[in-house]
Amino acid sequence: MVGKSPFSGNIACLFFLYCAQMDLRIFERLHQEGLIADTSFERIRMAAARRLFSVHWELKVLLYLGVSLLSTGLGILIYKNIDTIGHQAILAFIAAVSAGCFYYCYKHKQPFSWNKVPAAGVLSDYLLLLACLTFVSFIAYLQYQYTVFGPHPRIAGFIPLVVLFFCAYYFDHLGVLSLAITNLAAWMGIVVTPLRLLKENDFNSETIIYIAIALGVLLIVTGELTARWKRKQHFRFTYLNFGVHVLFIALLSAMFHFRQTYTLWFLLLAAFACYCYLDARRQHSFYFILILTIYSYIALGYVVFNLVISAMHGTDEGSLSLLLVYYIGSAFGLIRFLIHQNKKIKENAGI
Amino acid sequence: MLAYNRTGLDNAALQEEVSAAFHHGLLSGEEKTHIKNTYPASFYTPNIFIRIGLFLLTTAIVCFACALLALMFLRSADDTWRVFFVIMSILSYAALEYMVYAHKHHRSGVDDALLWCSCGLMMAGCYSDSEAVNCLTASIISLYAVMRFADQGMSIIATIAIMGILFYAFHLSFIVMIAAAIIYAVVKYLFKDSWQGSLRHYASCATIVEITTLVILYTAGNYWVAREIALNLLWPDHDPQISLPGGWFYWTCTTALPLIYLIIGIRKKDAILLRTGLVLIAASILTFKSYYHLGRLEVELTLGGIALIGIAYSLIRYLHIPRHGFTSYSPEHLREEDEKRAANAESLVITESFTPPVTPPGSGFEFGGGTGGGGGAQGQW
Repeated sequence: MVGKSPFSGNIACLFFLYCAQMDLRIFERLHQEGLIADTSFERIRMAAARRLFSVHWELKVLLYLGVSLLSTGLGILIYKNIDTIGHQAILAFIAAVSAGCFYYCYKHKQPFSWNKVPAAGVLSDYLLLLACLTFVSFIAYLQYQYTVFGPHPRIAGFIPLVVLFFCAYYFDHLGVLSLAITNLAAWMGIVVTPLRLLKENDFNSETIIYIAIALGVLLIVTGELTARWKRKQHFRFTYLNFGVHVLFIALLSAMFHFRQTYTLWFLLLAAFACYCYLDARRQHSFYFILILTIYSYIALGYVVFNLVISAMHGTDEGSLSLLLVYYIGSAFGLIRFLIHQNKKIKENAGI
Repeated sequence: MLAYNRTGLDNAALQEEVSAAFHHGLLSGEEKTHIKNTYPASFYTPNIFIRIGLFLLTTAIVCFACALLALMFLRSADDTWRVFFVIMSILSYAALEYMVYAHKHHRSGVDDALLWCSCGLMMAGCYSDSEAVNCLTASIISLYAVMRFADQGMSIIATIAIMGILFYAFHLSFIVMIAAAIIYAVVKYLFKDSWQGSLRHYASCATIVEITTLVILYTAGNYWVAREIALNLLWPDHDPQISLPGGWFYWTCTTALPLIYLIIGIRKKDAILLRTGLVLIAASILTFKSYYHLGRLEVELTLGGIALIGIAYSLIRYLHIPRHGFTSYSPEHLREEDEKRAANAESLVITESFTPPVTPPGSGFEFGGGTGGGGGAQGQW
């Protein structure tokens, strides 16, 4: 989860830099100094001589753009052509795209296993994504136009969900798993896309808070069971990543919303942060240490703010200064905490 | 000029190379530890996530400290806030120098945050009403920051600020384009052999400057940008429907520059030019789309998506076998193939060398090394 997290790939994709320019002269020097054995140096020399220019990431980005443009375009196309003559042709086209992509992925897939299966290739990775996206809009359209799945929208939403989770496991695809999780959340009534998590959910509504807490717990438990039962262990991070963020934000909103019982919610949040901490230490995960530090800093800050305000009976200059001193001091404390954790995790990860 | 210890920086760079080689399975773990002990990097450089956390917390500290001191000392609404910002900037800078000198922080999040806060506060303290003067201040501050701390983000600010001075002084995109091209060429020339020479610690900044100048060169020549600038800044009273005088020049730049980047990038195998070119092609398509409508949006999206997938598909098929030194496979995949090949070659060598009566000892070695090296050079595996 530390080194091989899904982030390492994404970060490499986001950053423009191409820094893996191996410099042979460094290794020549190290070889002369006797720090590298002859065989290793020979290997390095050969690797440098046959260095190919990999356009792997460029192709991936192109494919990703193509898939998202095509699925968005098709989605708008049916939406705008409902009740015209062409819409059945468009529907047939969408079904054909989806079926064709599924067929391609099925043909090129590796045999199923509960462990990590190496990707069949860049192309089938993205075609599977396209297949799933077009399938979701196909079902949505069928339901909208013909109410194929009866009058209950919840049931219609459930079918793509099942298909998405099945595809994620069957084809071993983290992207489809994330899609399935966001669809699950949407089915339960909240938006969990990273950028819109805070913007588009009304966290002042009590039902949303309870649903988000339930979803967070569900995702975390699933992630843990995934690892414990060794069923696609590498899916654990994706489940946990969504679950931890959703649960932390839900608990924070609960603290802000239920003013009377905010201490209770704070205790829950603190307990969850402790759980995260123990888990992160066990998994040597710098990422979750960072997440829990930031959410805890916000939660603690809110509690202290409330305490100071109620103790000083208002916001005069003295209480404000006291608060600021606390914020500065706690940030210093957390910096020390992070530095310490960095050292500890590094030591343990080395073993 | 550089705040960090130069030997330490060299060692850190060397360790990075060694770690990469170890990650690619080219070095053994013992060799790696041995090298790391011989060339110790004395800096405090934590994991990337810890760095992000330290950055956020340090920024929070600076902000809250500013608020606290402002609460204590700032009374009137006159110009004292300028002095206040400058003093806070100097204080953060002092903290930065202290952390770098005494605690050997290097890209730790703490030094990044202090540097950005210090520069931002200084900029706020020196803010003026003239854009050209602001650009001049920003360029002086960020150039100093780049020279002293080799910070990549600051090198973007410095480049943009310098271009800003030229733009506000002359109001001519042509001059900005020439300046961007000159800076790109100079940086490219200075950092041709970045491993050696006294500028080696600035190599990562140079990469960023190259990208920034390429983007600025394109932006200054982009039709949409030129038209917006002309309508909003230069002749605000004009009819917004007019077409730009000399529009052909901007249309030529909009079309040709990304393609030129792409072609040179492919020919020279320059990842920066190649990727910048690809992104800017997208920008050019958007520019065209805002003036010429080929059809309805959803049709364009669908057709564009099909075209992109088609291009990517044919390139993947074409580069399935490496051609002209390009491959569609990831470096990791190539490494695995290498390992398989090495294992095969090894087993061949072993079988060859363990059949003494037929094969003379020399040919076994030659066979293993020769095919391995030759096949590798052609990249047929």
